[in-house]
Amino acid sequence: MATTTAAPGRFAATAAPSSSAWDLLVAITMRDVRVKYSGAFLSYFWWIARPLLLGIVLYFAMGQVLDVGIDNHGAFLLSALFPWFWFQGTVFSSSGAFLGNAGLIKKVQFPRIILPLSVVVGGTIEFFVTLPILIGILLFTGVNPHWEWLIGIPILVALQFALLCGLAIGIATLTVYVRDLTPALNSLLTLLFYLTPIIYPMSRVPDEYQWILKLNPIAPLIEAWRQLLMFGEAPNVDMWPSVLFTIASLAIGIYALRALGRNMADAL
Amino acid sequence: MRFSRTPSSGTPHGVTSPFAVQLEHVSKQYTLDATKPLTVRDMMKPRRFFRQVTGKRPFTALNDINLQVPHGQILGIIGPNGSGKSSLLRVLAGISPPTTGTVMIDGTYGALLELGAGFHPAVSGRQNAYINALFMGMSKEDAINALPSIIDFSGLGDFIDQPMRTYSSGMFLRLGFSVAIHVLPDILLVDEVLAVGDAAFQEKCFNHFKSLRQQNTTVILVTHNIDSLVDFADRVIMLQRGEIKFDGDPVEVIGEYMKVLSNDNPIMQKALRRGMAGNLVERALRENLSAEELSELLEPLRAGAQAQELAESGR
Repeated sequence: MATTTAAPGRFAATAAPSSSAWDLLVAITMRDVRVKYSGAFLSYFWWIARPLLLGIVLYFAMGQVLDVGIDNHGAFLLSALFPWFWFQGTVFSSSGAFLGNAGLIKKVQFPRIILPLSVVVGGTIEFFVTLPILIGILLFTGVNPHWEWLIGIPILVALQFALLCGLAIGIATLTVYVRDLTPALNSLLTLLFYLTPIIYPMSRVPDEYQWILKLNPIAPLIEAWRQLLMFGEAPNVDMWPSVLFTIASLAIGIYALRALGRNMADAL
Repeated sequence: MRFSRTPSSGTPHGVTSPFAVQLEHVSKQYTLDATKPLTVRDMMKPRRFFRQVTGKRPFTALNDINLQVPHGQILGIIGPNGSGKSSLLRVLAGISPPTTGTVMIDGTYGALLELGAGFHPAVSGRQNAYINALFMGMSKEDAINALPSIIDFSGLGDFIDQPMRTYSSGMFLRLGFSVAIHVLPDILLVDEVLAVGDAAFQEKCFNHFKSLRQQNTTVILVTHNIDSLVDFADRVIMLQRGEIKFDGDPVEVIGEYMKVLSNDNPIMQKALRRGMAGNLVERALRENLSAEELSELLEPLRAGAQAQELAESGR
């Protein structure tokens, strides 16, 4: 056994606890997915009810009252709202991934990364379950099925999953040290909702404001979802800002956890 | 994540060192904020802002701890509140890293710092027991295999499939404890688990630690229940202000501890004596001692009490 007296302090063990991080991740994810709406009368129906209700309100306000004149307005809204709900729900919950489990982190040794990851995996399961329902609604409104869905959906799911992993790890870690992040995220996500082509198409944005949306790394992702689901257009090179942002968020998130996670038990 | 694995020799629980736990010059410091966390309002008051930024001072919870615990030893850690016991255990468990120095653990280790850590009120006792077992370091297979035994030992019966919010605090503890005794690492770190529960519960804990001795488990135990340490610890260390003040035979170290406590606080001394008397009576009942033998056991306590009364009346 190596006997190096190093500063900063070192902790070394010849054998880790035998439980695997994977089993723990699966167990707590399944628990949290089941618990989220347990006891609620509508239970899992809320998974589709939340994006659907907002979709109906927007359909009425934008389509019927303001008469924005978008073809197949219902499908247009829902094809962007479902991925958006996956995104914002996960980002918002991730800020409490460590903070809400302070007792556990202070008392139990386990790979902490599984806490934000379980938020992401839980959200992804939710999206996966609602996706066939979304497609059913789209087909009902007159959208044609496209074979591009078979390759496009896995690509977009993988990209958004990776993006959310990076964001969730970073946000969960930073919230431990900067508690303002939780209320800030609330406002930021509302802002982002309007700066993302959800209630309007990218093509309607005037040229002089296009740069604002170009700065929003979520915009190409949501736009790609809509193009894929409504018109069968497979994800293409226009996605590069989202891909770049995904890589950056993963790098920053993992770096933040490595740098700040060490003393997390003392900071909580 | 927070530990580096040094490769062990091929054996399953590869014994590579004569010591299960080895600490070299381990110190732990926390940074204390001068007053409260900094807010925007503070920034508007220059004097407070200045104090906030400059007023941070380190607090030394552990100061240059050197400790070697051989495999199979049962080590008790005692000390007054705030002496660093829990900090030491958390450093040993890999939960919070030492500020300087090296901690080396040889073997699988598990920490019982809290019974039922992470229990979720909305899910069943069965599911919570499984997840808790994973958190305590059991493998999935071990946890699934142990589950029937865990449930049986908890004595919860049909309640096991009810959500845990319906449990009484006693049922909560019983399930937590039941999981805890099924966690069998080479090195077990325990914090105050003995302190909770009624006498029967403590007796169960006690029997569990005795069985761990037969399995050659290294146990490091933080407790205020000093009487139990006399009964089954091989060695006791006493911490004071983050340093090891005494290290050695349980009876001697505990004797020193009592002296330290009573020097500090006469009320504490009385409380301790009452606790000791209670424990002695319990032991007398357990071992079927006669009244004379019990009286003999209580004699030193009685003498101590008289001495104190004399001192108090003389004051």
